[in-house]
Order: sequence, then C-alpha cells, then structure tokens
Amino acid sequence: MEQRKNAFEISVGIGLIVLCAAVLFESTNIGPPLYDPLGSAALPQMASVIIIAFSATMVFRALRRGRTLDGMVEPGSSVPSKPWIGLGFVALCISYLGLMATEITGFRTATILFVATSGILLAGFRPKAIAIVTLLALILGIGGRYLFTQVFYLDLP
Amino acid sequence: MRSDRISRKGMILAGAVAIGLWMGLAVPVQAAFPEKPVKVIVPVKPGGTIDTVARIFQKTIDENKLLPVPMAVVNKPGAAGAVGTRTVKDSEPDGHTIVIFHSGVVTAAASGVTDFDHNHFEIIAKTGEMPMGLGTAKDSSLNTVADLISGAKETPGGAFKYATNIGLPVHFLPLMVADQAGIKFGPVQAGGGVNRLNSVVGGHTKFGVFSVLDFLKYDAAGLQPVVLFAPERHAKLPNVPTAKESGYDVSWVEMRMWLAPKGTPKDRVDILAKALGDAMKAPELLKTFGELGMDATFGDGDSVKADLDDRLKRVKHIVDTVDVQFKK
Amino acid sequence: MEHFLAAFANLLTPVPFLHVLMGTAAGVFVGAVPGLTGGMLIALTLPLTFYMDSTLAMIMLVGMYVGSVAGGLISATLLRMPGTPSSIMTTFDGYPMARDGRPERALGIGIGASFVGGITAGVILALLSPPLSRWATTFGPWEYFTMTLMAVVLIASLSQGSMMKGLLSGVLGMLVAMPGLNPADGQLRLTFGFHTLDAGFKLLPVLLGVFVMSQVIKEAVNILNRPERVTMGQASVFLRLSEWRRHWVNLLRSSVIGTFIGILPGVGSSISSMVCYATAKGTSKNPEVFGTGSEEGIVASEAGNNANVGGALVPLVTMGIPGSPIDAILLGALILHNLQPGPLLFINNPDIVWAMIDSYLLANVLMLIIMLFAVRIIAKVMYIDRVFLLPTIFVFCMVGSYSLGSSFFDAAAVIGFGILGYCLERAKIPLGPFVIGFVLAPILERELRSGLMLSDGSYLPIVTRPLALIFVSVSVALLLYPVITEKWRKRRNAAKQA
Repeated sequence: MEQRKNAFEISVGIGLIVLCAAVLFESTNIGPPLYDPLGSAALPQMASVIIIAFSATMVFRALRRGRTLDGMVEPGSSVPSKPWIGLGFVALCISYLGLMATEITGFRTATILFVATSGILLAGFRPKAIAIVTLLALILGIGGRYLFTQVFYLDLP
Repeated sequence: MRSDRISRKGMILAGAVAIGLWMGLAVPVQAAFPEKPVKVIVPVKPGGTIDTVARIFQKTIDENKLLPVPMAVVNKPGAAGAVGTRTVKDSEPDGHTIVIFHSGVVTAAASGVTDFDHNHFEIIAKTGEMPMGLGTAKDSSLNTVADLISGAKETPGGAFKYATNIGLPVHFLPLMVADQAGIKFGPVQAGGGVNRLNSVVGGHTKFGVFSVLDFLKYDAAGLQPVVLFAPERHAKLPNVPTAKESGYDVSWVEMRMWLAPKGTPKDRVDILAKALGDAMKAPELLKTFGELGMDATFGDGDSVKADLDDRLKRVKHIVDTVDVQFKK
Repeated sequence: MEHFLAAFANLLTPVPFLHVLMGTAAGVFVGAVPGLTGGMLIALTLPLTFYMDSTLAMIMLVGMYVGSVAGGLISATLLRMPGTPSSIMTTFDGYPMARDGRPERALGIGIGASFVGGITAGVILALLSPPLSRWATTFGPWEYFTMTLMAVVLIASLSQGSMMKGLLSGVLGMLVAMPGLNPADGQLRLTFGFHTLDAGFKLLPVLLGVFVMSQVIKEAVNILNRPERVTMGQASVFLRLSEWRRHWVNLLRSSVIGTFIGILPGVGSSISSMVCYATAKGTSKNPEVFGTGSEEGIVASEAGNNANVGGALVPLVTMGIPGSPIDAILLGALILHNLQPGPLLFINNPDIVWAMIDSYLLANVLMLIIMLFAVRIIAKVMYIDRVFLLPTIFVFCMVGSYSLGSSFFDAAAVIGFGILGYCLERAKIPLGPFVIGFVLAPILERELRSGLMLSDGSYLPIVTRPLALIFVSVSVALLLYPVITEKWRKRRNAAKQA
C-alpha cells in the first residue's frame, strides 16, 4: 500500500517535470512583449520553473522516504481497492466519447451502450443490478436526449 | 482539433455516400438552398449583445418562414471572438455555416492577434449599428476632448492612460485621435465593457471607449460620454458632440455583420442576405433593437466590404505609423 | 435596504421560491450522499442553466451550495464519511455520538449549528457587502494583483498536507489557465499548434474534471468499499431552546470565525470548520472529550462550515474574486450569464446581487426545515448504489461540457483533468489550490500587466500603495511562517540535546 502511494508521488512528479519542460520549450515561440513590459512568456515560464523545482523536491523526498515508512493505512480503505475496475471504467468513458466524436453513433445509442457496459463492470455481474442498469441505460439514453434537447435546449452530438 | 477533423471527415464521407445513393436513386435536380438548418456561430458567450441579436434573428426568420429551414444558433466563445470566426472560416463553404460578429475582425487582424481578416470570408450583410465614443468619470474634470488632449500634453510620453481591450476597436480609436492631435495616450489593458468602466470610474485610467448602449446603461455607475465617433449626434445622447464637431475626423460606428466562409456561392449568400433583410422589417425585431440601443440599419455585402477595407486601412495606418507598442 | 427588501419580496413569489427550494433540497440530498459533493452538483447544473433566467439560475445555485454543505452533516454523523469535504471535522464527534446511541441528538445539534452559522454569515454578508463593494471600486490593478497572489498563497498554505504541495497545486492550476489567447494582450501562446487550444481550457471542463470526474474515478476504484452505518432511532432531532444555552458562546464564536475565514479569498468551508474546531477545543473546559463525541465539536464544525459559505460570497459579489473553490463555479455562472463580476455588479445589477444575498438567507431557513423534517428520509435513501450513480454522473459531465461550445475537445478535457485530478490526489496534492489557481491566474496576469502598463514598467507600486503592501506582506509572511517555525523547532531540539 505504502509503496504504491509513493509511486504516485514519484510518477506524478516526473510527469509534471516533463510537462513543464515541454511548456518551457513551447514558450520560446512566444513573441516578445508588445504592449507591456512583461510580455506573454514570462509568467508561464516562471510557473513552469516553480513546478519543476517543487516536483523535483517531491520526487526526491518520496524516494528517500521510500522504505522507512510504517504501514499507515488511509481511513476507509479497509476494503481492497480495485484499480482494474477504475481503469476499465475510464477506458469505457473514453470509448463513449470516441463513439460520439467519430460519429459512429449518436448520443442515444452511445449512452445506452456506455451506461449498460460500465454499470455491469461496476456491479460485478450481479444479476439484479444488471437488470436495473439496463433499465437505467434506456432511460438515460432516450429520456436524456429528450430532456436535454427539448427542456434545456442543449446541443447534443 | 483531432476530433473536429475526424468528425468533419466523417461528415464528408457520410455526405458523399448519401449524395451517391441519392444520385443513383433519383433524377438529379438542382439542389435547393438551404436544404438543412443553417448553423449560426456566435463567437461570444450566451447572453451578450451579439448572442441576443443572433437569437432574435433566428426567432424572426423561423416564425415568419423567411427561410425554408430553421436556423440553429451555436455559441463558440473564446479569445475575443477568434475561436468562433476561425471555425467558420475553416468550414465547408456551402452556406450552411455562418458567423455573426463585429468589426473586431479587422482590428484583430491589423494588430496581429489573428492571421485572417474579412477578406477570408464572404460578407453576407450588416444588420444594425451602434456608435462608439469616449467616456470619462463624471467626478473627473475631463468633460471634453479638448480636456483629454491638454491632459495628455501636461503628462507627455503616454503617461495619460486610457482603458482598453487590446486588439479590438476600443484600442485604436483613442490612438486615431492622438495621431491627429499629435499627442500620445497610453493604453492600459482592462478587458470588456464593465472592466473598462471599472477602470475609468475607479480613477485608475482617465478615459475609455464605450458604446452608446454602455453610456445609457452605466450612467448610474458614474460614466459620462465626452464624444461620439459618429457622423451625427445620437438621438438618445443629444448633448454629446461628434468627433467632427470637436475637430477630429474619426468615425467608427460599430456594426453587427454576418460572414460566410470564403467560396460560398453568390446565390446562396444572396438568399441569406435577403432573409436577414426581410427579418429587419419585423416589428418584434425592431423592438429588441430599440431595447439594445441599436440602430436598425441594413447594409449589403459590397457596402460592408468597402467599409471594412477602409477601416482596415485606417487601423493599419495606426499600427504602422504610431508607436503603439510598449517601449521602455 | 430597499433593494434588500425588494429582492426578498421577489424571492417569496412562487417561481423564485421554488428555485431556491429545489436548489436547497437537491443540495442537502447530494451533500448527504457519500461520494457526491456540492461542487459536483453545482458544476453539473451550470450547463443546464444556460437558457434559464439569470436570477433564477443564480439563486438556485446558491441554494445548492448552502444545502450541500449542510447535508454533508448527515453522512458524517451516520456513516463516519463526510458527505462533502467540509464536514470532515463533524465525523470526529458526530459519528462517536451516533455510535453511542445518540444519532438524533448529534444530528439535531449539527442542524441547529448549521442554521445559526448560516444566518450569522448571511447578516454579515448583507451588511458588509455594499460598503465593501464601494470601497473595492477604488482598487486598481496593483491591489487586485497582490490580492489574488495572497489568495493563492492562502489556500496553498491552509490546505491539508505540506505547504509545498499546496503551492505546487496552485501554480499548476495557474499554468493550466495559460494556454490560448492570453488576457493581457491577446497573443496566442502554448497551443502547441492546436487551434482548439486558442481559447485555452475553459472553466467548466476543468471544474467538471477536477471536481467531478476525479471523484468518479476514485469511487470506481473503491467500488467495493461500503461504509458501516448507524440507523436512527425514534428520539427526536428537535432540541429544546434551553439546551442550546451552554453552546451559545461557541455557536456565535464559530459562526463569526467561519464567516471571516470565508471572506478570505480562496479559502473553503473545510478549512473554516477546522479552525473553528481547533478554537473550540482550545477554549473548551473539557477538551479531552473532543474526538469521542463532543457536542461542542459538532457545533464548532457545523457552524463554521456553514458560516463559511456566506462569508465566501462576500469577495465574490463585491470583487469578483471567488471566496472558495465552489465559488469559482458561481463566478463562472455569473460570467456565463453575461454578468461581469466586480465591484460594479452592485450598481449595474443590484437585482441579481441582492437576489443572491437574500436567497442565501432563505436557503438557510429552508435548509433548517428540510433537514429537521426530512432527515430520516434522507438517511434512508442516501445509500444509493454507486453502480448506478457513476455512469449517470459521467453522462451528465459529457453533456454539460459538450454543450458549452459543441466541441468534443471540452468533453475530452473533462476526462483528462479527471485523470490528472485523481493522480494528484493520490500523490497527496490537494485539489482546492489547483482550482483557485486556475480561476485566479487570468485575473492575476491581467492585473499585473495592466499595472505595469499603468506604471510604465515599474514594480514600485507594490510597496507604495498601502493596500498592495499589506497583501504582499501577508503573502510573504504566510510563505515564511512554516520555514521559520521549522528552524525554531530544530534550534530548540538542538538546544535540548546539548
């Protein structure tokens, strides 16, 4: 448990450093100050440098602390977490968006598919839950479309 | 970006398939325009004046059946209108996607904020005008243009500041006055109308550019009009002199205009222009215009183009000759 | 005063009243359901209000804000799981009391304290806002610049965990706000060649991602985690007025502290409730009971977090600076409805401002009634299976973000910021500063660069303008405080060992 929490600090830190390096690189394309003495590049560069410094410190501390931690458990995490369900859920979210963005299906079909599959994933194949989830999918897909376009005048894919 | 591109490809593909099927099945006849809803892109957030104008046109055209299909208003706000206008510029030039905006199109181009101007579009028409003018705080001692000029002479080198929104007309109008008077005003970025109002009324800057509607709306907040950049005095502000009366040849009446992507067929542009022109005769539309303080003037594409060409030239002159940029 | 009364009279007509009632009820319910927060509810509702009347939209959102902070109390007490982050301190005493067989009394105390905190803050809000907004019109770019700077430092240093991580989060939020056409001179930057980034990341997708999507991912990961619950007995949640007598000092103190912490820009309800809790414990005759079921603890926490809501509305309506991360959404709502936040809002749109202030007071009254009479029902239905909630919330996220500009980029941004938010939280980096940094960065940059245009490039006004000097001094002091205390501690330890 502890090791994994450290892993998040380390990987997030490294990710941020890479991101800010890219920002610093991209900021060289920003033109010189036009109407004011500071210009548009100064603040992004300053922010990037601060983030790199803090991230590096965080990674360094996490690495040093690595082995010496006692097995402190977060409150409420007595039940094992299921990273695979989370990952699967995110994957389904992305496919849902992808289905609509590529115009393979519209909002109605995509929503029904998404709610049904993700519900089944989260419910862990309990028959009763699956039945409710399927019903919910139909309500959200068909009713949602009506609600959003007719009542709230929103634009839907 | 990527999703947009894919979706457009998908759309073209679907369109091609549909047309293919249709050609195979039916006897080809001239497709009547418009055949599907006309999408009006509003490059600002829901609720602004441009949005209101777009929606009143949508309503009027639908209710009076001025087009055989409905109009769909879609907001694409961001970057002082550049996001929405760019979307339409890059759209399919079939008349089914158009944009409504103001002369910020030319000032943004002249000042280098965007890399395209009105020549990258087909101009459909202008619908409605609103004069702009200079405003100061009521509790200041600046009541005329002459006061502003002498103030700038007392604090030379651009130390006499005005509130601006960089790249838009409000940025360049004071510079045009300064250019003719042979003095310097210093711009201070404030942003939209209320931000400029705050800056001027709060005493942080000396003056700013506002529309007639702003002058009427912000009277209670302590804003007073000093001069209007209009050919003649405005009915609702009869005591405010025009720039010409004050001795400066600066005119800038803001307009609401409609643009289609470059290459949209002339007959389609004409159909749209006619629908807009007819809509402007509807009483309920005129009533909304009255509430917005806008003059219901209609202008066709050619006259608007000539006007915009002229404005672009004037702004370019300022950008090229006057020292608009910050120098230490 | 006339505006105040006129707005109240308007609020009591059926349509506005129903909107406040709906908002408050929805807020209480969502606040009570573990895993759903007020921020989520308000962010998800915002797109639905695009074509609503702006006053109705704002008063409904204010109702949601009030309801959700109060509703968190129910799950904090019965489940030892704060329904919203602001009720975290309530779990320490509410749950032990409930477990020991007094859940009704714990809830009754919490509800009463919430109400007093809310009303106190409402009165301060109504009295303080008009003069403050008049004063704020004299604030120039330098005052705004230093104030926003202070806000980011404040929330970073007051957030849980290390201050460095708080600052990291705040600065990252600011960086995320920077791509696109910048607010100062309209130049394009950091778009990496993508025109979809021209307008930058919009507020709503970022909020939906950080507030909503990250929680959805977290709940999906912990889907098997089911809280233990305490069921309510037959005892009444109504307390006699005389029973409040020994709490009144604590009540008033916590309400006032909560309000003023709320007024500090950027700082949210959870921090208020922590400070009030610590103060109550520090001044209590029996501090040892705190954490094992102390009524005083519940009073302090709940009065504090509800008072914070009202306090946090002060900088929002007077200066356009969000008083808490949730206020950032309300700020976005004002802008979406074309109401320019700032000191002139009081002059240009007095009807809206007063409607917000009055609806805050009304929402507190409605909250009291809803909570007292419906707490049993809410306690029964708040265990909705997350299996059904999570997909539904996500669908709402997608609809809300897409409808903003008919763009899939915004919808994709929700997922991206959700993943980012989840990872940041797992790395123990607080998300509050991120949101505040994101919202304030454009203001900060615009005001700094306007200030430099005004002073012709000189930074001197930071020290020559008195208010700016105060704000900067506070920021520097906040930054140095942990460093100095750490040094002192080390020196003292070294002295002890010698």
